[in-house]
Amino acid sequence: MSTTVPGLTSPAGRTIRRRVLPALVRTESLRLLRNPVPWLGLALSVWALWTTVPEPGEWPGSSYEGVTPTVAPLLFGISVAVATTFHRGRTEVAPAAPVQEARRALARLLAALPFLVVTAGFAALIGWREHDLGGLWLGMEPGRTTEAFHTVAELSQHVALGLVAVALGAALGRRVSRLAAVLPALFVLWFVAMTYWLFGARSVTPFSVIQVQPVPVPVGPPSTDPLSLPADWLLVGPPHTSGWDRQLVSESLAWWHDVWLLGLALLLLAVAWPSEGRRRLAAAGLVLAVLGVVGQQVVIP
Amino acid sequence: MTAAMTAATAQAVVPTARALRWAPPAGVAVLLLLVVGLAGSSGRPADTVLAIAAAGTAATVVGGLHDPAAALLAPVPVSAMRRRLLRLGLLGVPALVLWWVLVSMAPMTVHAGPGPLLALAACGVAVAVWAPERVAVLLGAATPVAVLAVDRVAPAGSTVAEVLGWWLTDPWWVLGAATLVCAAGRHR
Amino acid sequence: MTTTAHSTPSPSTDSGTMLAADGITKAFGSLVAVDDVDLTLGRGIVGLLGPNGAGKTTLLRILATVLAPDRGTLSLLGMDPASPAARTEVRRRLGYLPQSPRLYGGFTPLEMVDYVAILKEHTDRAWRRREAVAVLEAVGLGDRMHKRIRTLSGGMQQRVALAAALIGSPDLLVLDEPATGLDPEQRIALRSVLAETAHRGCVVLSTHNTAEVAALCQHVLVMDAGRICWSGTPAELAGVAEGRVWESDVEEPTALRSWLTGPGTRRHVGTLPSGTTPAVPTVDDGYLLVTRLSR
Repeated sequence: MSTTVPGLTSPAGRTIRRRVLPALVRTESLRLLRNPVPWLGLALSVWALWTTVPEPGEWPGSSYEGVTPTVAPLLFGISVAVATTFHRGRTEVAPAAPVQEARRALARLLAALPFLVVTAGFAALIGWREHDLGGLWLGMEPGRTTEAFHTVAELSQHVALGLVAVALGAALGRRVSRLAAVLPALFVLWFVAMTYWLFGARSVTPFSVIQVQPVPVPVGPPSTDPLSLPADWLLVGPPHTSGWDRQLVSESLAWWHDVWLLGLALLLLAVAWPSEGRRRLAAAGLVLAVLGVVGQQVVIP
Repeated sequence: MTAAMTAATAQAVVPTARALRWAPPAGVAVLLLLVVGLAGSSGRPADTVLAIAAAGTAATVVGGLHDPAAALLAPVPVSAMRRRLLRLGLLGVPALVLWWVLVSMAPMTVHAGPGPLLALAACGVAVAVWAPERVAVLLGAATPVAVLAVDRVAPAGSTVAEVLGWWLTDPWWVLGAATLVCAAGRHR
Repeated sequence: MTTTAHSTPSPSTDSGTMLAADGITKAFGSLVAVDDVDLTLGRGIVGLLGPNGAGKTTLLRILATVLAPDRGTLSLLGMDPASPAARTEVRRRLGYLPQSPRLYGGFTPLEMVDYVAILKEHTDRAWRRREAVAVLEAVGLGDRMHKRIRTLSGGMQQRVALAAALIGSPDLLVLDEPATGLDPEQRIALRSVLAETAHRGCVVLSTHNTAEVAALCQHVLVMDAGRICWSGTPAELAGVAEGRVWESDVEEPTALRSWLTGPGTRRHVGTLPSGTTPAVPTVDDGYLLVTRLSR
């Protein structure tokens, strides 16, 4: 008896192999998008965004600072959904199948990428909402504006954060044996990240996850005459602070923060990844993370 | 409760402690200590951080109810509720110690008592007792998290925010109510 | 051993009745998993056969007091498990092996069995230790009782779970597919362990293996679509196919069921065509015929 089976090295085999990944991605993607948690998170984020409006008597910049962290529930939801998907990887299914764990992990990761579109959409919604409100308020007289808008660099953080959310969910889902234990860990991580003022000190600002600007730069004691400061500076002073601070929005800081987030995401993905390819991910992540932190340290005023 | 049952529960303490997974609670504890330390250095009131800590700790304690051998142990005379209480006791004591440490590290806190932590944990346990078996612990662990998440984003002064804030403003009442719900499901 | 479809349940074990179910029904939403089942069982081993989804696991979970029936009455060891106090008493004398038992990977088999013994309220440490060692040896794990469970093979883990079910010499043993993952030698060892238990109590086990049933069980129940559609001895089950099974080299359109038994040879159950010589029936043939006829 003789049997001929087309091998994967044959042209037909290679075509089949190329089709496997999209098919897996489609299946995983459908499962991920059916998970209600990210959509509940999105609803909470939109709700939080809509209720963040400038109010008379607010801390100078309160509404501006409050807008960015509203993404946290969405990020938490994305992490939970991705963790559920990667947690399935802990169960050995068809270990002898030709599609090995690295490709399955890649399919799960690619399947989660539509969530980056959702985070980008949320960033666009923030931009639209701010324009609809006519801008947010920043600073106090005489250095004040009522038409502050988040820069593209600041908004781009949402997409990078989406990637971190995916990578964090993948890492915890793959490495923690119980989903019930993943949930509190994700919650604490994202809601701590949401508490942005924890990272207010200059030494820890580059390590923040959700970075909120403006950065306060001390410019003088309480006795300083604010009118003597450059007219284009946004200012905050007594009684809100002990002296006069410049409220600085730095686009370069925001871009370098994105680099740090990309590095962080790759490091987390390395944790989630099967042994094949893990080192390369970790090395790339480490390089980007260090570059991002150093870049922020250089540009931070 | 019979003497045999009491003796059995007492003797089950050590093996149950060994059966528990301690790495996730330890990880969450380290994270919370770091965060509260960070909050302390910022000099701002740490109530938000402590609220997150309460929900995170409560979710971790409820998550500890997950028993991989539950199917095998289902028909033993020491009931599921007694086994739950044993696990809660084993996880609850270190959780309260952690809470005490966090509160002592946190600056300018209003809600320093263990009430909010106990209230959230009790709500989670109540959900875990009554939810369908397959997802009971997951839903139970999600409860403190969900309560805080919605509480944080709900507009201040709204009815939703007020009701969801009871765990913080009236924790002992919430604890009492959740305990009654748990007691009603003692045979589950 | 008594097994009847519509008998009056006995209130105590003195009369030999260890398990009596009357009109037991359990539904999950619109799916009726167990539908009006009546049972009376005494000492001995009862095998529960049936296709996937027939309701065997649900019935066994009810008999193990893990699941409460929606309707019907149940008496286990002369007690009604619907009452919490009686249920606890039943559980002291019951052993249960679930379909996919999960264990604590960080425990050794000895620690796991000892832990289950504590939860069965055996508080005498010396007795527990002796008994745990004895059941582990009985299931052939005497030399592995100090290894971590996560390092054991699937078959060995199954035997640890079986040992946990056997601890305390239960009067009622409920086993859901106990032979899964066991090699032939272990299966034979399992038979002798169960036969010993059956001397003093009642063993109810589900299986897909008809050979296992023929070798081990004094009585067989065949379940399909939530109902017990046949009850009798293994020989009687084989006898159902008497004169209704035959072999040929070709397809038989009149057969209820046909399958290949070897190169070119087909075996059929159904109405024997005239002029055909019937084959010697097996439990397999009887089972296939019963499940086909019940639909």
